[in-house]
Amino acid sequence: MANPTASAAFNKSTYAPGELMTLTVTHADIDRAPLTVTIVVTDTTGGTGTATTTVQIDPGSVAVSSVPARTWTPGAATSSQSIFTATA
Amino acid sequence: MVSIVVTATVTDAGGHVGTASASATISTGIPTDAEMATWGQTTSTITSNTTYSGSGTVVNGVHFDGARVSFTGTDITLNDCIITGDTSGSPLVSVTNTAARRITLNRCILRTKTPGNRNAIQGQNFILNDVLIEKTTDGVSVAKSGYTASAANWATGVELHRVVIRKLARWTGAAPGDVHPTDQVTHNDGFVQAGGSGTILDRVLIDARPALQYAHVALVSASGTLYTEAQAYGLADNAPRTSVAVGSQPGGWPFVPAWTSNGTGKWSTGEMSGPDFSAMMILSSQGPSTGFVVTDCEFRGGENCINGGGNPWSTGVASLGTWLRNRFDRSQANQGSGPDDTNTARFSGNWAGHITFPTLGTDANTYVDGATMTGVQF
Repeated sequence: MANPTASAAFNKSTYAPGELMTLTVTHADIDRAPLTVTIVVTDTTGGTGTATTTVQIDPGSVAVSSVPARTWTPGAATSSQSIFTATA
Repeated sequence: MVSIVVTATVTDAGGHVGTASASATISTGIPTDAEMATWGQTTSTITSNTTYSGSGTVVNGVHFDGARVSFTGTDITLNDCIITGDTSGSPLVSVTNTAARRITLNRCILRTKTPGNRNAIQGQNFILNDVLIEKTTDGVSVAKSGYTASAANWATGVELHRVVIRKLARWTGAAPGDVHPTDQVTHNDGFVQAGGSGTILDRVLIDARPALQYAHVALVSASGTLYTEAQAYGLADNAPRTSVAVGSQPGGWPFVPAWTSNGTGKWSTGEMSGPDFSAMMILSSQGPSTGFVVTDCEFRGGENCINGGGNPWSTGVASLGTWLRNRFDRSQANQGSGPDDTNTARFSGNWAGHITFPTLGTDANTYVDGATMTGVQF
C-alpha cells in the first residue's frame, strides 16, 4: 500500500487573539479510492445477471496538532478533505 | 506576532502515514513600533515640573520637556503626552501622593531627556493605556507612600494595558541618592512592586536587556570605533560585544561596568542580560504582593526574568494571581541548566498551589516559540 498524501491550509494568514482559525486538510490515498465490485452470475443456459457494490478498501484517519498547542476540533470531512477549527 | 505551525497527519488502515504542515501568525496585541510611532502627538510644551490637583482634569498633547509630572487629585487623564523628567532623581511621573486616585495616561511616552538614575513612573492608583517607557532605571515602580504594616494587602490600583518597557539604562553607581548605593553594578527592573494586590498587566512587553549606546553600555567595533545605536542593535546574535572602558566617554560615562558576560556569547541567550536586570521584580517590603492578573504579555531578558524571590508565600497569604498566555524568551543571564531552563519565571517562594500559571493547554504560558516552559520555579 502507498502512503497517503496531504496538504494543509489556513483560511487566513494572520489572526487576532481569540479569533476562530479554520484549517483545511486535503488528503488523497490511492488505496482509499472506492472500489467497485461487479458480480456476474451465469446460469447453465448462459444467461447472466449482474450486481455491483462499492467497498472502501483502506479507510484512514486525519489528526492535527500545533505549536503552540491549541485544541483542534474536527468539522466536516469527506474522503478527500477534512476541516478543523481552533481558537487563536 | 506569534507563529503557529500545524501538522496534519493522515494515516491509513495499514499504518501508512502522510503529513502536511501549514503556518499562520497570531497577533499578540502587544504594540508594534509602527503603532508606538503614532503616540505622543504633542501640540504644546511645558518646561517646568507640574502638579495636577482637583478632579476630572484632561491634558492633551503636552510635551513636558525637561519636566516631571505629579498628581494630587483624582480622575486626571493625560493623552498623547511626552514626559522626559528633570535632572533630579525623582521619577518622571509621580503618583505617590496619597490623595491621587485614578490617574490615567493614554498614548504617552516616558523617556528621560538627561542622564540620571530615575524611574519612569512610581506610586499607586494609576492606569497606563498604550504607553512606551524607555531609557529609565526602572520602568514602573508600584509602591505605597507612608506604608505601615497595618496597610498590608493594600490595593495597588495599577493597571498596565498595552505598555512597552524597554532599553533600561543606568548611569551611576555609588553616588548620593543612588537607587542602589551599595554597589556599582547595574540594577534595573522593568516592573517592580513593593507589595499590595490586584495589579493588572495586559498585553505588556517588558524587555529587561540594557539600552545600547546609552548610559552604561557603549559597544565598539574590533577597531575601537563606537557603533551607532542602529549598528549596535543590528549586530549578529553571536557577534563579539566589546564595551568601552568605564568613564571613557565625554561626560564621564559609562559610570558602571556594562555587563557581566554569562559565557554564552549570544544576545539571545543572555550575554548582556546581567548582572542585575529583571523584567518583573516582585517584593514584599510593603506586605505580600498578591493577586496579579498577567495575561498575554511578553517578557524578555533579565538575569532572572521574573524574580519573585523577595515575595515568598506563607500561611494566610492570598494567591499570587492568574498568569495566562504569557510568553518568555531565553535571553536570561542566568541560564540555569540549559536553554529551556533559563530562570524565566522564578517566583521562588512556595507559591505552588497558590498561583494559576499553566504551562500546558490553551491558556499556557510558553516560550516565545511556543515551546513548553520548563523549570518554572514556584
